[in-house]
Amino acid sequence: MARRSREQVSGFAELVEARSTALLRLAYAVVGDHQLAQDLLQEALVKVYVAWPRLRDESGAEAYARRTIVTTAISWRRRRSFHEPPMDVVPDSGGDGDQSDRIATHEVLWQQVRGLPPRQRVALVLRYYEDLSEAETADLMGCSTGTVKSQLSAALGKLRERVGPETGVLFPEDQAVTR
Amino acid sequence: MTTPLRDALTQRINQVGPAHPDIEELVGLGEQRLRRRRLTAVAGAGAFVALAIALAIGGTALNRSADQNPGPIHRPPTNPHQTQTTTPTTTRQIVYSDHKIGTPGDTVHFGDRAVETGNDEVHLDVTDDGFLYTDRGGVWFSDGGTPEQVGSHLCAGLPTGEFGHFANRAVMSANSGSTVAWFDCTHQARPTLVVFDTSSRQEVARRPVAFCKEFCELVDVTDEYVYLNRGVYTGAPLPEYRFDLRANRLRASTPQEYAEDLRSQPRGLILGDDWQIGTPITGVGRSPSEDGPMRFDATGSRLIPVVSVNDRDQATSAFDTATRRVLRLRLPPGYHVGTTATFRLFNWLDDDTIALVGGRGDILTCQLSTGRCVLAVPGPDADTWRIVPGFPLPG
Repeated sequence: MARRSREQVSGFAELVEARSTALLRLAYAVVGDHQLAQDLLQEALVKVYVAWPRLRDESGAEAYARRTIVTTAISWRRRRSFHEPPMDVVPDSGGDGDQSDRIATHEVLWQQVRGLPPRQRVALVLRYYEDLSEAETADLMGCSTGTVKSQLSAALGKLRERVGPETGVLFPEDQAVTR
Repeated sequence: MTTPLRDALTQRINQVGPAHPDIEELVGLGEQRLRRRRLTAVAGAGAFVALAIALAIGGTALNRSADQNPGPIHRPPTNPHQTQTTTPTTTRQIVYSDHKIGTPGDTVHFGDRAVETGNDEVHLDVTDDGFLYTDRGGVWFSDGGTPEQVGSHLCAGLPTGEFGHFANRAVMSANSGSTVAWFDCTHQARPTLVVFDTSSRQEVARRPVAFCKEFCELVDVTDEYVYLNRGVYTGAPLPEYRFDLRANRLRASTPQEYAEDLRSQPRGLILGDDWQIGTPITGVGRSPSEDGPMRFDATGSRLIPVVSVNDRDQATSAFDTATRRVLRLRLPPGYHVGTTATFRLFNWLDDDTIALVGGRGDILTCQLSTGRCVLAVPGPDADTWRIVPGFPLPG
């Protein structure tokens, strides 16, 4: 197992430069903690480096990194902050008006998303933040579309229950979940 | 004012600023991991050389000790600094034990170390942190240093034999990480599922399972769950229950749930013509067709994965769950087998490297991405039986 060639290191560096921010946001979305997200991103990128010769091209490498982030996030059950209970108190937005209301709404929603079980949170994030189809979400999570549907249904049910209508968050109808 | 869920999530997540990863650090970490893999491959060979030398110059002493009582359980390690030199790593070590017929086997090889166990181990298992073995009712753990007892009254080890059917899988670990599980029969009327973390060296769960009074067996351990059932199956057992490690809850489960869990693991195989509809397995447990781990038959220079379908042997494809690519393994250059030879997968050393043991005890390590295999530890003498994790001792 030889060291990576200069060309391979250069290709890897290009991927890191181009896609790190998007990958960090995905990592943050699935673990809900900035420090953990940075750890997760680093772990995923190191795995990409190790696997580089078999990933063939940049799109393959990014797909591998994304899959690593998702599967690692699901398995990081021991990390305390990954499972912090959602906050009960709406944070002070520090101002008045629509802007501050919107910020407070996002924060309430986000805390509840963080409190979801990992698989539900990952399914939700891939479907509604990454805007993937159910089939693409299933592919990334390594499960069936039926599982994605059930995880999404459970996640949306909890959020509907916990994030009241007064917050103004519009949840998709179950029928609209399928794409 | 209303905000669609999609917009709310996007606005919140996009508050995360740009990433500034240190590329040099990433390359350094990556190279370090590649070096560990190289060391893992050569460590086994080094252990064999050390073993050969030890046998050559210490044979007399070994035979003499065979006539004596087994020593105390907590023997000092050969090297008193072994524990201190252990480096935390995500790459697992090759673990095996050689048993010369007629002499007690009490040495376990863990990477480049030889750990004296002081008792006849009946089962070996491995985690990211070290190895475990069982003796008559006890569970022991070593990180390369002096073994410490971490469990007792192991159900499978009881002389009454109620749980004796699957003694070779009485202790079960996940393919990665530190989780290991077994049944404790301190109270035989109410066996207790014990889950132990070899990283923290603490029990993380202890759950009495009344319905296991008659019979239970561990099916599998993954990062999140311990699967078990109450039946006796030939071939791969089907999980009926799973214990959720995070929720500390036992509930009914299904083969579908189990399959989905396995598909999400980076260390696993999917057997069939298509990874999407194939059967996911860990590779190291019992395969779908037989009481043994995943089998590969040497044919020419290739190692062909074998799975029985409808009671007949049929070579099919095996896919790597991490990359979803077909495994195409090749025997080491110049490696000679007879007309046919069988190898079995017994350990995942990392996401891309598996360890196989052959019929004559040769241990190969194979890189899934390249298909290359190397002879990591040559087999022992003809009068010596080699034990690897997940395999039973003779007799």
